[in-house]
Formats: sequence, C-alpha cells, structure tokens
Amino acid sequence: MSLNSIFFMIFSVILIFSSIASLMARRMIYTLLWAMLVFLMVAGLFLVQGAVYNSMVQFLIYVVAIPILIGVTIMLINQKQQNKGLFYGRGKYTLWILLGIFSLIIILGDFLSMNNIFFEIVKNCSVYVNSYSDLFSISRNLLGVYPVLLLEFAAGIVLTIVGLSYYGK
Amino acid sequence: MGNNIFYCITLYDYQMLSIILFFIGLIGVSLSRNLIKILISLEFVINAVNLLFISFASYKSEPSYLGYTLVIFTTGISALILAVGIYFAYLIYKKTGNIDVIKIYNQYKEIDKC
Repeated sequence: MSLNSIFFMIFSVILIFSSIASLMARRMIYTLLWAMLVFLMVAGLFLVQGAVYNSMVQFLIYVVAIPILIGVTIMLINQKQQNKGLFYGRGKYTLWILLGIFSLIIILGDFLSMNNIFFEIVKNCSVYVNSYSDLFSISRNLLGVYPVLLLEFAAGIVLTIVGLSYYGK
Repeated sequence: MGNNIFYCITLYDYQMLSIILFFIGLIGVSLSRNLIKILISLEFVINAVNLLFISFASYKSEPSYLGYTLVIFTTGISALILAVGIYFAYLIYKKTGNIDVIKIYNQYKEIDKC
C-alpha cells in the first residue's frame, strides 16, 4: 500500500464515472464538461506513474485547448433540438453485442495464458507477473480448467446471439 | 493480492482501466447520434491507448523513454484529428441544418436513389 495506489483508485473511479456520464448527458455542453474531467483524470494517472512531461502536455492540450475548440463550435451550432439519450430504440441492444465481444476477448486472453504464450511475452517487460493469473484462479480451483472454459464460451456466445437477434427486429 | 483493499497497483490494473475506457469510447462512437459526441468519444479511445502506452513504459524493468515520446506525438495528432473533424462537422451543419447522423443519412439516402 502506498500513496500512488490510493491516488490510482480515486482517479480511476472518477474517470469511469465521468466517462459514462459524458455519454449519457443530453446537452452537449455537459458532455464537454464531463469529458474535460475525464481528460484531467488521465493527466493525473500519468502523473501517478511518473510521466510528468506527458501529464503537462495532456493538461495543456486536452483540458485547455480542445474544450475551447469544441465550446466555440457548440456556440456556433446553437442546436435547438435536444438529443435523445444514448440508449434508444434498437440501438440499445448493441450493448449486449459489445458485452459479448468483450467477454470473448477476455476468454481468448485466458486461453492464451494457459499455454504460457502470453506469460512469456509479458515476463520481460513487467514487474508483477503473477497478478495476471489472479482473475481466473478462483474459478479454476473450484471447477477445473476445461468446464470453466466451456461455460465462458457459452456465456459469450449466448450474449452475442441474444444481442444480434434483438438487433434484427 | 490478499484481503487488503489497498494492494499494490500493478500493470494489470492499468490494463483493465484502459480496456474499460476503450470500450466506453467504442460504445459512444457506435451508439451516439450527435457528431460532436462521436468525436469526443473517439478522444476517449485515443486516451485509453495513451494510458496503456504510459503504463507499459513505466512498468518496464529497464528505463525506456520510447513510450513517453510516442504519447506526445499521438496527443498532438489526436488534437489535429479533432480540429479537422470539428471543422467538417461545422460544414455539415451549415449545409444540412442539423448534426444528427441518422437525419443526415436520411436526407442523402433519397438523393442517392435518383
């Protein structure tokens, strides 16, 4: 436990919350303000890792320069009609498709890590190698390797098929 | 990892955070109808990739400044992408009258049939 871990947790929680809030906002100016908070938190995460110059460049470009550009454009456009929310109509089933694809990608990484291919690549450039196996170690100890993989593949395929079938309607 | 909540932050945590930010940006690009919102969520994607580069560079055992240097260039280029995209969005607004993607598509769909 160190000070960096506490700052990482604070910054990452604010980052995920504000990035979702910027997509769900109806007015464009609120989208811009939440996005500024996201970019500021990314600059803070750069500072936590010790990349001071990158953090400074990130602050100057993303928190100062780009919001001025987008804000002037929002003023010029002066849109009267408001947006509907993010998840509307048939588009809300796209979320299920993306969730299925995301889970399939994680399963693929797990499958690669079993054959020690992924470990050998990562071992040269990372300090804590053992933390890669923490996520799936509980399920492997309970059920064994192959039933867990079958369940994961089934869950990913079911999510993707459900999303695609609703998307077609 | 242990039972303690405040365990040591590893490369894995930065990778998971950047994957989450990447997918939030991807959902925003694919689902939102506003042109400017699409551009902002494209910036989320670029920021996720920058975060991954910085975390790989800082968690390397030997000191390497390639990742730090690369991120500066990608920051500048993404600002340029956003400026050009905002300009095109403004031109589209002046021509069609709105920045809703589906309405613009429906306007130009009838022109293509002729």
